[in-house]
Amino acid sequence: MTPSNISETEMLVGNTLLSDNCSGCHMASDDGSFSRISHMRKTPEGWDMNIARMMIFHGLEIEPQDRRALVKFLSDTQGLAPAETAAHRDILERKHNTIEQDVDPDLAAMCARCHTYARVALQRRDKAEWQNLVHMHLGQWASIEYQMLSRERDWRADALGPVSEKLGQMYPLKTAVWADWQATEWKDMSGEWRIVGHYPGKGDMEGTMKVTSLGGDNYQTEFTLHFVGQTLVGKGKSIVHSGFEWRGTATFPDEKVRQIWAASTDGNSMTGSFFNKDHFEESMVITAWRKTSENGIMGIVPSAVKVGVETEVVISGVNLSGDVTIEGAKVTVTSATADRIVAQVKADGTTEGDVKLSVGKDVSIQTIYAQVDYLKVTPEYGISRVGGGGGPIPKVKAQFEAVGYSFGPDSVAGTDDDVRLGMLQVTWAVDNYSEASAEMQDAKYAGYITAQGTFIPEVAGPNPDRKYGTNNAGDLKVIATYTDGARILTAEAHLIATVQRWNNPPIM
Amino acid sequence: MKKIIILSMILWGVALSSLSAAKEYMIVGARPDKLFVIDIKARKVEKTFTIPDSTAPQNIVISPDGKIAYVITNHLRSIVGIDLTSGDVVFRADLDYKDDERTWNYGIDISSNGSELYSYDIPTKIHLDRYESLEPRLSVFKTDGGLEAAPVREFPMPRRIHMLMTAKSGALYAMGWDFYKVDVQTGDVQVAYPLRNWTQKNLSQPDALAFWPSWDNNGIFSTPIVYVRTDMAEDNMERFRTGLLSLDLDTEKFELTDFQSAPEILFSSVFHPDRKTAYAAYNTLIKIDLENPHTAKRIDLDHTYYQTDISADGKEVYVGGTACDVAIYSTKDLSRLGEVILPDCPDMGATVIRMIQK
Repeated sequence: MTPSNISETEMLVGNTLLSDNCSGCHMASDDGSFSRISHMRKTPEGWDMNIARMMIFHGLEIEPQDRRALVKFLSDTQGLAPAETAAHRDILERKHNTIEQDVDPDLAAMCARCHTYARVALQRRDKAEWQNLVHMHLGQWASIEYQMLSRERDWRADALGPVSEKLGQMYPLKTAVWADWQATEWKDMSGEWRIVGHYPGKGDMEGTMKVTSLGGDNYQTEFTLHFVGQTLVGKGKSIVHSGFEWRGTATFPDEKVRQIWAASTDGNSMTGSFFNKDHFEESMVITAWRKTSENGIMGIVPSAVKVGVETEVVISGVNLSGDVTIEGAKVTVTSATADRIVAQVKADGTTEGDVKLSVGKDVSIQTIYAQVDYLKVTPEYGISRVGGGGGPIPKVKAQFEAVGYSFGPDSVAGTDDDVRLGMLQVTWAVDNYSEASAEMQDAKYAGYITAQGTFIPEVAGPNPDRKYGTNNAGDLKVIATYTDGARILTAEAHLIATVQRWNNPPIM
Repeated sequence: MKKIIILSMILWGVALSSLSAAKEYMIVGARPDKLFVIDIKARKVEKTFTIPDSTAPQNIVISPDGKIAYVITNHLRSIVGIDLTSGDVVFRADLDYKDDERTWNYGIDISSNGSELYSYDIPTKIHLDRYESLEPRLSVFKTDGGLEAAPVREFPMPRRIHMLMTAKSGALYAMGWDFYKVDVQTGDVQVAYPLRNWTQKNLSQPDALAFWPSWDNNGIFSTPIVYVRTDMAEDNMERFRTGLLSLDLDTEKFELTDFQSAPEILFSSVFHPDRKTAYAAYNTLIKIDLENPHTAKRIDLDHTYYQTDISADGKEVYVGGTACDVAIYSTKDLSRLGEVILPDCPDMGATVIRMIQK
């Protein structure tokens, strides 16, 4: 049966590609299925890694355009539905510093001690196919049974038995949600889009994206992105897999970027990460809205204004019109378009906390505060990696950001009524995290932090100046100091300045 | 009794005389294809051999006459016998000798008379579109099997074995979840010393992953082994323990010597020939008093070393593997005595050290 979003021609072309490239090993059956291939579903990245593995380990030779076409065909016909990827998008979108949450402890010990749990949870197979995957692991990496957290158990028996059983139940091949998604009309993404985002350490961004169809779910994109004091214009190309998986590349004057976004089921919004092609840790999380007849406020920058301080506030959205009011503040609009309103805002101190901001009939929240009561550094736990030094793997930096909070009405830190005030300008320092790291002088050797909160790790390789000739890894604390008149506030985060990853697949 | 004493005196005398006439050599491998013969007392690489069609030498087994080194290479998938005088390849078994299999070696040793090699093999059947992990086996090769050697006997074996060693009696021992004794004629496998299900009072299941043969100059296998004292308070760091597990290859007796808590990682250990002290290393090198078990001395090494070994006279302890140098320390006080840097600084990786006299 042809899924409703795939034309008969596309089916024919896709099946011919499978037959031409894969049927030498994967036997075709009379029902049109291919052994192994037809019994699993994956994300676009999952399928691409699959093809890469066939090339590296099994000698597959395939033209780049055929590889791309197969990824597209397999993602469209054997992909994952939006709901099936929702819990694991941070890994799929290559968000740095992600610590996977709510991972089944059994499966964490079995699978996620070597790669992310998401790599497993973003596949769908029945038990026999999960068992084939276990056999593949044993056939490729004999050491798998000898490593820590596996050698104390009968890894093979556990993996082929209860673990495959559990995976088949948790992540089966056939699901109603995928069948429903295949039956849902997948939307064309062409049109004008509004886009807002936050680039850690750099600040907020708002802009536009013009999307023009090139046919076959391929698009041309034109970006105009405004950061504080800087506007960047870029052009690129994107493709949509599985009806919602937006993948894009774009070129800006100083960098090439990638996009991994998910569209909403109605096709009117997208969220995801926008990152440097070579440094996925240089990334911002964005939200994009299609410009429709609907109104809406997407973002307010800054999100918090201090009592008595006149502040320029930018309200971004779609079809904005009408009077701008903020409870407890005087608002003077200095420029206004349907996308963007700039206003001078001065809070009078009659109210604090989250207050109502209105643009015509659209409503959002502006925060008003009297003082920053405490700071937090995000991420609380960051990772950098040594690199360069003549080796093939570049350094991976770690970006930190200090966020201010007020105590809220109860005047107590860390309670539900605390109010987030956004990114603050602070001074940065690093120090040894523990006694052991002090003894190894990690802070001296591991790298340095810039005024923007970017930790730059040192070069890779053994360092003869260090004890044990060890490399420039370190266990550090990152300290932010905020000065407000005579008041000095500090906060800390934990940084593991570690070694290179030698294998950087699309799904880690 | 008298006869035995006389006989052993004669044997000892022969051994001593051969020892005094013989020179001691260290054999190590390095990536991608090198085998080195080191005159260790002269601190000098005497011979460098190139192993044909090799990518990563690891385990090495020496024939009892000290003439041939059998090297596991090609990422655990080939056994190559190299004549240590000429460098000629005299034996080769590429373990994928069955067309549809991919096989790894995770343990090798040689029979006491040098006629057979024992290889612990982990095979996977490669189907056209899938893998099928098979049960491991012991493959027995004749050392005169030539350059396309195939096993003469095969027996199923337990999974997860990582080390084989032949006792003087000819019995084969295999370390894995438990320590097994293997009959190389029948394939019978018996637990000789339980590890996974050991019955040591108040001790957790132990953890040891030994790959290092350090018995050439002392006749005893040993490895660091870690476990937890279950009778001690959870906040007491002393409950994390390190011991030495040893198997005397003469008497076939096992011993567990608890000597310290677990302040450091130790990869390998070696007994002094007099069995009164032992040495263990990784980032540190420690001297262990076996008579009154405790760590008698500890020094920091300049970098990580995987294997520990010792000279036949018991005066020098060696650490090697990991990088391209072998560091030499005094067994008496762990003072530095010297080093050997391999030509062109190749990566030893996980290659082992073997000691021979010739």
